[in-house]
Amino acid sequence: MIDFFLYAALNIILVIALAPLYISVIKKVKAYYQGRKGPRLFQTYYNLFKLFSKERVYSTNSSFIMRVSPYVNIICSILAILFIPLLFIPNNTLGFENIILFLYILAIGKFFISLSGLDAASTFGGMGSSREMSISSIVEPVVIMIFAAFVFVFKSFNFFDIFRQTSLNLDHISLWLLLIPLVIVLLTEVARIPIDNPETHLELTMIHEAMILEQSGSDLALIEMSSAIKQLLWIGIIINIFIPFGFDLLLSISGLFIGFVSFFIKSILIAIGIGVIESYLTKYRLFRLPNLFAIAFFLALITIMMEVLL
Amino acid sequence: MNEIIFSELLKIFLVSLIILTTVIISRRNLTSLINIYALHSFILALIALTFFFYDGALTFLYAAILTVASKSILIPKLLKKSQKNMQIYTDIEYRYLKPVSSIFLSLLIFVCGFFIFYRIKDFLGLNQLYYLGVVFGFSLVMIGFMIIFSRKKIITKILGYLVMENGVVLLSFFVGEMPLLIEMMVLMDLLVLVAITSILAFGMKSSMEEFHAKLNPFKNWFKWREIK
Amino acid sequence: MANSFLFPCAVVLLSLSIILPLIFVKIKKPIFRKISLLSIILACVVLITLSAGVFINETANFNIFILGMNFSLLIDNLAAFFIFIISLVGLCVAIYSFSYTEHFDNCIKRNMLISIMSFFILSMIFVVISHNLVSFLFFWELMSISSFLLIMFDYEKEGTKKAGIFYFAMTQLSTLFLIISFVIIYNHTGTLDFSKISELSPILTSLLFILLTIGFCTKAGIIPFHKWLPYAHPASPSSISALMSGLMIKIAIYGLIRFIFLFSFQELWWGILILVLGTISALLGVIYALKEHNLKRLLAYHSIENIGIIFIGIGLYMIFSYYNLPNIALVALFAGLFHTLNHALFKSLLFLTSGSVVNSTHTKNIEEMGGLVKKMPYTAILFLIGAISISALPPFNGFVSELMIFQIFFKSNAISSPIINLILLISMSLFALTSALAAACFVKAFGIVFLAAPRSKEAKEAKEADLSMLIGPAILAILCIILGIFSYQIFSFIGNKAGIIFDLPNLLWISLAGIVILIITVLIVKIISNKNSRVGETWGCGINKQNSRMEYTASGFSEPIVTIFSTIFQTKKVNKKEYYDSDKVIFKEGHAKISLIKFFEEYLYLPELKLINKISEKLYKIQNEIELDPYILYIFLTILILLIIIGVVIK
Repeated sequence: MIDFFLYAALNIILVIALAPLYISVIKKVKAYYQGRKGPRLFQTYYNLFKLFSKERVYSTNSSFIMRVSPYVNIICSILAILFIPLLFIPNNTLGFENIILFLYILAIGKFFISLSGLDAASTFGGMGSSREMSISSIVEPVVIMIFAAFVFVFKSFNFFDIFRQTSLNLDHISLWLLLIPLVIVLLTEVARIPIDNPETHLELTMIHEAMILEQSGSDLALIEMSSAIKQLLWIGIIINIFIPFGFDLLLSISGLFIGFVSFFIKSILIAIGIGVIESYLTKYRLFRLPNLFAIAFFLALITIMMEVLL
Repeated sequence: MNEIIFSELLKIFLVSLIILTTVIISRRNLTSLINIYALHSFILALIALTFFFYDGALTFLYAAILTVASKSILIPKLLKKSQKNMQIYTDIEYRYLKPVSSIFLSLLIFVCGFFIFYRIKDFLGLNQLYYLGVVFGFSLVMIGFMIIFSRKKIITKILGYLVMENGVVLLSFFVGEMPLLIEMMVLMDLLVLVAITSILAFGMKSSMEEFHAKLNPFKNWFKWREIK
Repeated sequence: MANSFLFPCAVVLLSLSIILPLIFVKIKKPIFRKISLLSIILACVVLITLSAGVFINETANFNIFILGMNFSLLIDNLAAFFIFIISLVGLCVAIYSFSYTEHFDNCIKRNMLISIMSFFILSMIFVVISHNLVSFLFFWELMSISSFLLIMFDYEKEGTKKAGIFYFAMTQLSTLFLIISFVIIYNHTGTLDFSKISELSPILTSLLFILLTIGFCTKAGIIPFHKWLPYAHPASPSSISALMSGLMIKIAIYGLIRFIFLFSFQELWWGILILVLGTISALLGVIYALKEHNLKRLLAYHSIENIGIIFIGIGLYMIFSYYNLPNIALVALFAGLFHTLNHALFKSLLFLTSGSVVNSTHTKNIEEMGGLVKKMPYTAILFLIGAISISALPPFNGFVSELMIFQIFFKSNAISSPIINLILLISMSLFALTSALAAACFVKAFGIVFLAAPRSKEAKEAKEADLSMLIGPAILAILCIILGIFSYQIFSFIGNKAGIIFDLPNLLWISLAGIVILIITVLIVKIISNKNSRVGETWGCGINKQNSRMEYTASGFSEPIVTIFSTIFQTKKVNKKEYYDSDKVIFKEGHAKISLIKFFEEYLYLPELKLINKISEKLYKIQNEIELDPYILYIFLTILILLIIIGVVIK
């Protein structure tokens, strides 16, 4: 019981403290490819503090949804942190176990943010909501197929057992094929190129940004924080399944330190990789995204068929 | 080489082959299509190399080197030259099949191949892994067929034919007795095809102007329906 | 013992509520209606106690002899579960009807509504507890006829007549299939009892299975027999739509499960058929719901989707029990039944609250509503709870049943046949797509109806619903929340009693953790952030006064999905422009249209309708002569033919 609370506290503090750093890393990588110096590494932290000190403006048309949804979103992201062990795996999971529950808790946040996009009676908000809900519906079969592959291969429903098994042996090399669909899902969930451009200022090209155009002040800070947390969680899943070295299975100070250092290095590498992908590709037209997801679905299905049916 | 590593590596390569094929069937940019085909053949050569490291038979090594030299380097170069001359860069129009439907149709073909070969698996004397290879080879051939009839530009049709030949070579690795022989026959086939295309495209170096004038009306064959 | 006393008590109370308004049908004062509604509520409470008693103790058995026919009734666990569902929803609809019926113009109509509604509830209860071919059919017919009368309630409006007749035709079709199968059963077993069905031969059982499935699918609204649902639900009053969608469709599910239990063995293709039918209905139901702008028709298509999900659960049960994996199979069956309960609760909640909305704004088109969250805040919150439940978001109850079905799908590698594995995998991905699209559709429904600015004058002047129209749905909403949060405890209790292991997450812990994190976050944010907030106009790109034409419309919201799935909708976009000059510069006028075809109507139903019309026209000519001679000719011909036949047959 106690090790679960220790795990919870460590995980939450680690993720909340580190999450904005990765956004800056990706921006720096993109700037480097464009020949610029880019913003400072801690710039996202300064942005968040600045947003917290601004006042909030609500529209005359908005209702309680606008005031409530940033909090619902951040709580869902924080609850989702407890599902993904990043530094060590506790023995007792106290109910934070299920893969599908993890997915659907993230979906609650998305639901409320889409509602708040419609709330202010602006055109761009509605457009963002509609595109975001369509894209996240289309990517859902791919995610479920990837998770089904994990459950079939590792024979367990929760991430704790799965990470425990991957960190012990590297028997299933062909699971590396699932890296491509998982990366595509990561790019969709955090709204990066080629699905959505997070730095655009043209409203007609926005998907995620358009929904949060009307938010301001501490609400906007909470929403940005929540996207950063989601990004770090998906990076954490990729790291722990494919390159699980340095994971701590027994609780000890040196083990935690090694785990932290290896997690930090691996996640920075993956963030740099995301930045490279963003610099090499362009944003796809909205109606060409189903092609991309269909290829990812095909890949995941063939991997499952080969793994399981042999 | 270890049994497990052999089977796992082979599985990774086979799946990447079929995914690259579905990417070919749905992409529009011609330069990237030719690059993907080069990658495709390279992975085929890697499969041959894996067989060499596992089995020790030299034919696989020769087949790998031949594939890399001809299909990954030579043929894409020829195709790119003719494409640059014709100055077409994209192949936008699809006929009979939209990209998403073609991806699902290729999934259906793969699944049908899976179950058809399941029944004659024992007749052909294959173990599990080789049976997988046969299914993938068969799907590659059928998807190549689909590329041929569903795209409109000739260069893409040629690429579809090349993918089909790759599928035949793959089948020969798993089922046939003399993969090198088949590889060389297929290669000659393809070289002749690509040579004729290139000749028709930019003629012999000697009398450039005459050929240009003569072949000018035939230019329309390659720009099929690009100008409406 | 107490069970045999409770049941007649409930029947008496319900009959009282049927008879009382009928006697005093012309009286305007609401006192008798209120008494009958109170008796419905009491009867429902009695029935809930009865079902709880049956769960804990034992089954109850009755035999009634009327007119020489033996109606045998039996309340076992399955029947008690469905009685529980019926009485819960009936209770809340009755509370809702306290003020809903007062909105009808005619006092005769009001009285008749309550009377026929209680008759409907009574007939459904009797269908569920029938244990005899005769009683099943008899009460099934009573249920169909009373629902037909209820649909035709607003018979002056023009859409209602078409809806009512369509519904009547489809329900008689389902009864026809039931009668055929019952006749076959009677011929081969010789009794009317349910118990001898298990002794039939395999070929006969397969035939019976097909006939019964078609009959029950027509009633349940599975594609392609679903076409009456989108017409019937908008046409009837909202409380009746809630009853029909929440209860009557489930009675078909009950029939299917009952007959599956009675057959002594199962074939594999039965389970696969039910699974495929369920997946297709779920996917197509939600895709068709996305383009609807009539609020009640949207909810009707979602009913089709959820019935598809229940069928998926039942199909999984049949497949897994064929492969002798009873633990997984029973979990699948419980998932399907739990989704039945959940769907009854949240669908009735949604229909009742949309009834209040339609009542206040006098329109069913969501493109004319908007901004209702400020005028009707309680209704908005209740609708939001229903929308969250139906989109399967934790910690409400819709999530739990879908989670159980996902877990069964993930266990499918216990089956060794690769073909079945593949079918299950594809069905699972389509199921995932369905639940995500349902969430998208309810963002649209809740957002366009309640949020943003009002789009018409009636929406600007809408008033909050009356108290009873809030309490009824509120009970359903509280039940949705409780069933979701306490699902782990409920299923551990059931699992202990029945010996099955449900692998559910403890949503109570997670909700408590969420509340703790909420409190901490709010405190932290309040400390470090700026306390000011002000209210201003939305940025309208420079236009001074923002009007409702600038906000997003419902058709615009669903346009990306309609375009992505354009092969299913057969979307055709027509864009014609006319110019004054030949260089196409000076624009004169234009014409743009997006049209979707109604696939099943045009390709499946209408051709058969035209064929039947042609045949009946020909037959019409035979019988419509006013003169006498043709009939004498027919009699002469008949006698002649009979003589010939007798002459040939007698040796």
